[in-house]
Amino acid sequence: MAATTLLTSDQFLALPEEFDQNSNVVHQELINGEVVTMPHAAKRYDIIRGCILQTLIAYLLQHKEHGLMALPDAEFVVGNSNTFIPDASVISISRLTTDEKYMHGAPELAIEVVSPSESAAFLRMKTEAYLANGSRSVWIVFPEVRSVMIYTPDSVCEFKGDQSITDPLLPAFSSPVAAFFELT
Amino acid sequence: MVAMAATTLLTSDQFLAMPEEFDQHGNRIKDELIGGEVVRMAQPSYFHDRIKNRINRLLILYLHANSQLPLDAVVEIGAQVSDYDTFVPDVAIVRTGEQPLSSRIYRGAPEIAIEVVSPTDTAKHLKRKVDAYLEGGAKSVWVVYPEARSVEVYRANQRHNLKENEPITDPLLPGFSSPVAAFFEFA
Repeated sequence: MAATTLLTSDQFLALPEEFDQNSNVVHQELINGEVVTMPHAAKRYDIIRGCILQTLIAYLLQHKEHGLMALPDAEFVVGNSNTFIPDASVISISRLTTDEKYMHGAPELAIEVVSPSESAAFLRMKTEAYLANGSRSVWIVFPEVRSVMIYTPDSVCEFKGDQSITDPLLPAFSSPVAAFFELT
Repeated sequence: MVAMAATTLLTSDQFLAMPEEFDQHGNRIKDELIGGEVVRMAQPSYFHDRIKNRINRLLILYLHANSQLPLDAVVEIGAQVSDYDTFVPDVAIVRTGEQPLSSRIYRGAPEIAIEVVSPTDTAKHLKRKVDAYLEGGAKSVWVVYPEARSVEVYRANQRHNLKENEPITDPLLPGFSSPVAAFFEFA
């Protein structure tokens, strides 16, 4: 996009952390080699994310046989030019490690809640990079229109209105779309 | 950054009655009304224009060869898609002879709306536009992503994600087939 120097994931991860005036870490991602500062989450967006995580955690606790865990804000090195922090992710417990700051590869499921300033082009590149690097599905959640687009390597589905969300990665999982947005 | 300002929402009629704005070079500033919110369109770019023109050319060549179809391909028409949505699709397929040629604004959604995504387009506004086109009666919406070199096709009950090596087809355009990559090739 911009005519800036592109970084590799290794170069990006070696950068010192940046802090804002309140000493909070500034969240950045590397998208196609470009460093992108992530917008500070607004309250509404945090509530939606909380609802999604609660729904997933309730399901995963009931279905421990899948060996999956839901995480907020984990950092994933998704190939050489991409380092992402999905709003929520589901990964195999067998991949968890405590001795590194970030995860290698894409999560099994990446969830992005679209913030008002989020670029459509970057969101697209992120979605494709997740799928090209092993994600089995990507959920893109649109708070304004209250819909969830679910991308898998070979399909796209949209869930909205009174529909219920299902995902082949999560057998027997079903949640009304409205449950994600009911508190907002 | 686009603020979620608590501004008054406009109707399409109010929006279209606003005086046109011009920049210091005398160029008209283009806005769209998205869900009642006035949104400035991306600055024109050569890259974006080339892709738009390329798609329009592929469609016009097809329509010339299929002149029995009552369809036209047009670039950047103003379309009043709903009471709160007035957009300027980059390329649109419209039915010929349905609306007076003298009208400044196309009433309703085109049959096919094609949006070429600019770097400054937000995902939120783009999604609202796609939904409004479909609710307004568009049969298909093609969303073209130049950086990712892919196209997402939306129809009433279908979503398709096409990568550059895949062909794009449309039920409204029998026999039309173009690899997505052709949108990004410049002869």
